[in-house]
Amino acid sequence: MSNFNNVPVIDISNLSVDFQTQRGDVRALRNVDLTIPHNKTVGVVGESGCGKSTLINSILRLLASNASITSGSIRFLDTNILEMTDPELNDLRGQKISMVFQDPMTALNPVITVGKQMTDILFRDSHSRNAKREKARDMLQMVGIPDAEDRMNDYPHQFSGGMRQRICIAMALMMNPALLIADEPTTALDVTLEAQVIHLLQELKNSFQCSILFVSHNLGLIAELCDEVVVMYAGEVVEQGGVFDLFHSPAHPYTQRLLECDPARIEKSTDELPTISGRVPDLIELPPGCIFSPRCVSKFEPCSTQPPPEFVVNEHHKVRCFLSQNG
Amino acid sequence: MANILSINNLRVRFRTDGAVRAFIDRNQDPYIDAVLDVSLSIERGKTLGLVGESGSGKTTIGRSIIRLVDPAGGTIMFEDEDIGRMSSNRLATLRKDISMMFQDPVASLSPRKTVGSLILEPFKIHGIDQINQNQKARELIEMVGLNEAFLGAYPHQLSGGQARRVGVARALALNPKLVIADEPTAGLDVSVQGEILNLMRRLQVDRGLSYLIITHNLPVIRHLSNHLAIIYLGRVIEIGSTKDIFTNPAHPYTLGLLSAVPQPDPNKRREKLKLEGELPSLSRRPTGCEFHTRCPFAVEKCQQESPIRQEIEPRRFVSCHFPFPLSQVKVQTA
Repeated sequence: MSNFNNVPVIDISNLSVDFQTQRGDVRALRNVDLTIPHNKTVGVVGESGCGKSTLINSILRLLASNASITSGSIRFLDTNILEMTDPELNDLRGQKISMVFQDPMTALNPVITVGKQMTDILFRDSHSRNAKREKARDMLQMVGIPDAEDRMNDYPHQFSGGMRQRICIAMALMMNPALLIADEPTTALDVTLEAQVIHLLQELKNSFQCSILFVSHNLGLIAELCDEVVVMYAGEVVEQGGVFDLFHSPAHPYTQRLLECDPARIEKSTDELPTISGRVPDLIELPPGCIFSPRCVSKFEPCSTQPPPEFVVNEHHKVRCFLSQNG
Repeated sequence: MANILSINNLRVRFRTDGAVRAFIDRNQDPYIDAVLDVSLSIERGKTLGLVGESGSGKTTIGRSIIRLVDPAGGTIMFEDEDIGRMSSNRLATLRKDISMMFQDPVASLSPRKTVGSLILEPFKIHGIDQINQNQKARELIEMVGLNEAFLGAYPHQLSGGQARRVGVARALALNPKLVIADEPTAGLDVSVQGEILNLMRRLQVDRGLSYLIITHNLPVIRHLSNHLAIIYLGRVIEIGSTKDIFTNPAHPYTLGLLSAVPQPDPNKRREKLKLEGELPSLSRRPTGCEFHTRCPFAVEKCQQESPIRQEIEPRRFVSCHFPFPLSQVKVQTA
């Protein structure tokens, strides 16, 4: 991939996705712009229903049959994923872009040994079976599975939750992908194991030189792992920027509220935890103006009538909010 | 200060092998101790948090309190009665006084029943029929901050936060004295999480409830509980007031847990992990101090002798040979 070091691994521009339902079209993603630079970790944060999963599924072209991409493009290095043919997509999935899912138990096949599942991924390679097994063993060692050689004959249920997630990460990296998508990879794990998995991802990113798209609603993990952060709300990217900008000087009221609500950030013990009042809007009938305005405490004149364009705070920090209009 | 519940030396065992398997393997003792020598108490109107990794036995402790599992030893005193020795008739009425909120809110609601009938289910089970059903259902659903219209909805139509609220309404329907909440905020978004916790707190004040909250979410329990018990391999390794434990953890495991919580600030990234490895198997408990296999401070003594529980300040107990002296450790927890 050395020729592409300056080209972003993923470049999404103006992506919109609708789902056709009986009640009408659900506008799940609207005008999303996002780039994942080479060898960087980009975090996507947002509450349930904000379009995180739709975004991932669009990148891998795994959207449900009632979905349609109404505008935009997704470029992987120099090709548009949206124009790829099925054989090209097969080449992409699992090989150039791979994925670690939320629940490692459902991601692994319970009736096939871990070693077999790992070598099966290498079906594209022409190496001998022994060479493939060796590679699988090395990967398992790299993610910290003790006695990798013996444990390759074990089934997924014989591993603990943390070990299973390590195996999933090892599998995702078997083909040396350019992009690893991690969809809430630690929600099923305890804090101690979560810290270990995050640590592992950091180490592996450096040794494999791949980019990571890390999707989570845990702000602490995003701060720990990511270089850049994208904040999504109700199908829109409301703010994006470097991790320091975003956590230290958030510009969008939603980002600010989200940070205030995190109990890990509240210094004093309190009886009343902060919340964001109101609900996520119905994505079939969108409110005019800013999507966050019905719940926003600092809304003013233009917010409820026209959608805010993207304002530039600094080179990497962009926000969709009229409050940032004057700089 | 009266305790509503006090547990003394509780032990819960699970059988691992059947009789035939155990005979073939000549296994004299085909059991594991999921909970061992647990002593703790809950003050009336207060909240105790039970914290530990998965598999540490915290849910088993919660379940043994309402006798969903039978204890193998020790006593569980609820007010003046030993729950371990209650008859099945008494147990049925006990479960009016102690109610449980289960882990997965959607899975704990029957998918074929409406919210209205789910909320009234506790009354049916306990044969309470002299109530105005419609009015009661409305009262309860409004108590948890949902609209009456939800009474006709089915569980799949609810969001995670709404299903949680229905779970709270069901748990509180019969005016219990003690509520056991198993992971009350698992799977909820941060903003919704705050709403549920505020609701639980408000109801506690209004109705004088006592809570036992089982969780591994340390930032949440910090704001919700008065006392905290840290569980490791089925044992309480540290117990005390939440404030003291968070500011001055005495056990290395507690320190490890606290420092494992990621901080939402990129300036506070951790270079090194304090807690490596995983929970050892219950069938092969380590010798000596059971935490020595993962403890960064372990010395030879820790491998051989089990630590005895010591009171390092009033009502603060820790099981460690070398507990951190008070006010020396500073943890980076926001």
